[in-house]
Amino acid sequence: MEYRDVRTEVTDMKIENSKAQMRKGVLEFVVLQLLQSREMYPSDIIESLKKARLIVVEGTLYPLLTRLKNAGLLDYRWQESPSGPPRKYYSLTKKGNSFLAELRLTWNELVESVNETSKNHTK
Amino acid sequence: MNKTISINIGGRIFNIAEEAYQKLEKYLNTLKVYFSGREGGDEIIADIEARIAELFDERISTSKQVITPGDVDEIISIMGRPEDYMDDLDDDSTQESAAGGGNTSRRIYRDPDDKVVFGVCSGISAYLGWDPVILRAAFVIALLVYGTGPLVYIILALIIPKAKTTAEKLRMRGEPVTVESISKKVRESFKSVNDDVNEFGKRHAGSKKDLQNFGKRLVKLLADLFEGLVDLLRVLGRALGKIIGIVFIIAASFGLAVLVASVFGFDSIFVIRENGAAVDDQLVHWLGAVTTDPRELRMLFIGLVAVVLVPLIGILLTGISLFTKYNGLSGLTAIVLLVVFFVGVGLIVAVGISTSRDFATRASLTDRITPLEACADTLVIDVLDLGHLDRTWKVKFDDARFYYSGRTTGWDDDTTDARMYGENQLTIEDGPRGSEFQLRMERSSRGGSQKQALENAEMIEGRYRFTGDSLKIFPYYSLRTDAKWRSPRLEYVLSVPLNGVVYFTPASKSFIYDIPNVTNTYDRDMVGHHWLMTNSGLECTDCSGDHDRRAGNRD
Repeated sequence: MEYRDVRTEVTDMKIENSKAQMRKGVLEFVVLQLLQSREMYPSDIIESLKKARLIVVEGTLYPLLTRLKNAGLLDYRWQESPSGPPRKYYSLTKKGNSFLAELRLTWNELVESVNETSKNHTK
Repeated sequence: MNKTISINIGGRIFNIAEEAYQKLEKYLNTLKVYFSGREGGDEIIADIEARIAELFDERISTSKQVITPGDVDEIISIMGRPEDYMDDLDDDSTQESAAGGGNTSRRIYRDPDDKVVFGVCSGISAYLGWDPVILRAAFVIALLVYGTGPLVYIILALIIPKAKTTAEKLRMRGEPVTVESISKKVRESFKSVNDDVNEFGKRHAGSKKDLQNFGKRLVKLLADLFEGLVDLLRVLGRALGKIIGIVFIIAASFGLAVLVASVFGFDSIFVIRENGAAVDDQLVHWLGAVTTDPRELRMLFIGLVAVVLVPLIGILLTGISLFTKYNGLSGLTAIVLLVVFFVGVGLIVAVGISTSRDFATRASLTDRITPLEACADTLVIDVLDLGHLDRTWKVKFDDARFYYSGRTTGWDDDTTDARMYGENQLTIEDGPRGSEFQLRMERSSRGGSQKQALENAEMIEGRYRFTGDSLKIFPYYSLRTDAKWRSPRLEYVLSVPLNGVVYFTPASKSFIYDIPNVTNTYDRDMVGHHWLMTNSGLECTDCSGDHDRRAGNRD
């Protein structure tokens, strides 16, 4: 019951925008996480993200990768592909690693505090 | 049967249906607009194109070799439109590199769509929300204020970037840069073209085919003619260019040599003394006639040199470019030269404005010179010879001729200092009965006020000498170079009593001016004759018939 009330309040503040903001922060985190384990090229990343239902359109990924690369968190190398022209394989840099570690910390804290507050409220 | 187009995307070649191609192109253009001006925008586009190529590849097989519009639609929905992107959605949370994102902050750009010169005024106006006419008028008015307008304009044009992309154009106006607003803008501009084309098509629907055929033939003919003409001109032009180039180089070099000589004198170094008087035979010396203020003198000097130097350098570089392959007059050089030129114009105008105030009013002084008691009934009017006057420059200036001389001998103090000279005049009036010959010297000059004008007039020096029965007049008045040249005038008025006789020597022709006489004889015909003052004016006593030319139209 209370859940519904909260929702109607929130719609006034452009719910879509808030959702997008949240997802956006998470997306960056997830991409870095994916790349920590292994090098991937954009289509691989998209596949994983789609499976996790984190992105709707693929176009979102490219500006993000470029931004992270320009920030020095990612690096890429060209690798020949079995079919067609060479592909860009992205990997995490040192800086990216420590950045990710920090994000993970923040994420855990966030999850905790969100759970905490929602518990208190819904009770 | 359908037409296909072969495209290269992401380094691969695909055959694509025409309709699909148009769809894809439109989509990619939307993306390009969206990412333009953003850090790494080109890279993002390249990545997206590579991905599209991959997706195309998945849709191609031996049985289906052409990309269809359906494929493109599918791919667009996979890749998404910029509106669907999550990245850089909002302004408050995106940091540093998101400069090209979706914020609405205005920036100044030059507006290439509404420009008179470089679009500076319209760009700034768009930023401020003004009507560009206001700023344009302001710049034109600023032209009058020491010529600063063009200078400021050029500097602004260099600093302010041109709005190249639609995003930049929107930002110039402060409209939020969203894909919708960009599309709206793009659609608007396309629509107007489209409408025009449609309109034309409707009007000429019937005769379209004929028109097209005829048009094609005509265009081809004109193109052939034009090509032939261009070839001919190219050959002629190359030869002519070389010749013009050499002429330009020689002319400019000569001009530069003259400029250097007049700036530095032929053997001295340019110095302006504190009192504004300059030394020796230099350009600066001559400028003393305009102003004696050292600061203005310097401004005028630099201004004049800049204004003369720039065209000379321009001509020289053009000559070099024409003669050799080396392009001497590049954009930057041209801009620098223009700036220097306008600075020069500004300086000259500044001094000109300040100097023009000195011409506000005219005042005159009259010196009555003692009656010429000693002289006989006949007064001989002759030229006073003070020796050689070296006319270095001769300039017609404000209805007086203006001579400048650096080397004069014979002026009473025998100085070799530079002086400025102007021609003076002698006229004759009838004096009262029974009086003596009388000479008046009327000096006048302009000045900022009556007092200044009088001061300036007092600087005018004239020379005359009575020797027995003759009046000798030096044909030039003189000013020292520390005096200002404010349209000085010197007129001698000789009052001749009734029954007095004057005789003009042939040499006096150079300064007698508009002398009234009963026969309306020209001044030049009056010399060499005796003239008797009668009740009605001067009458020639020894003119033979052929000398007594009348000028009917003369008062």
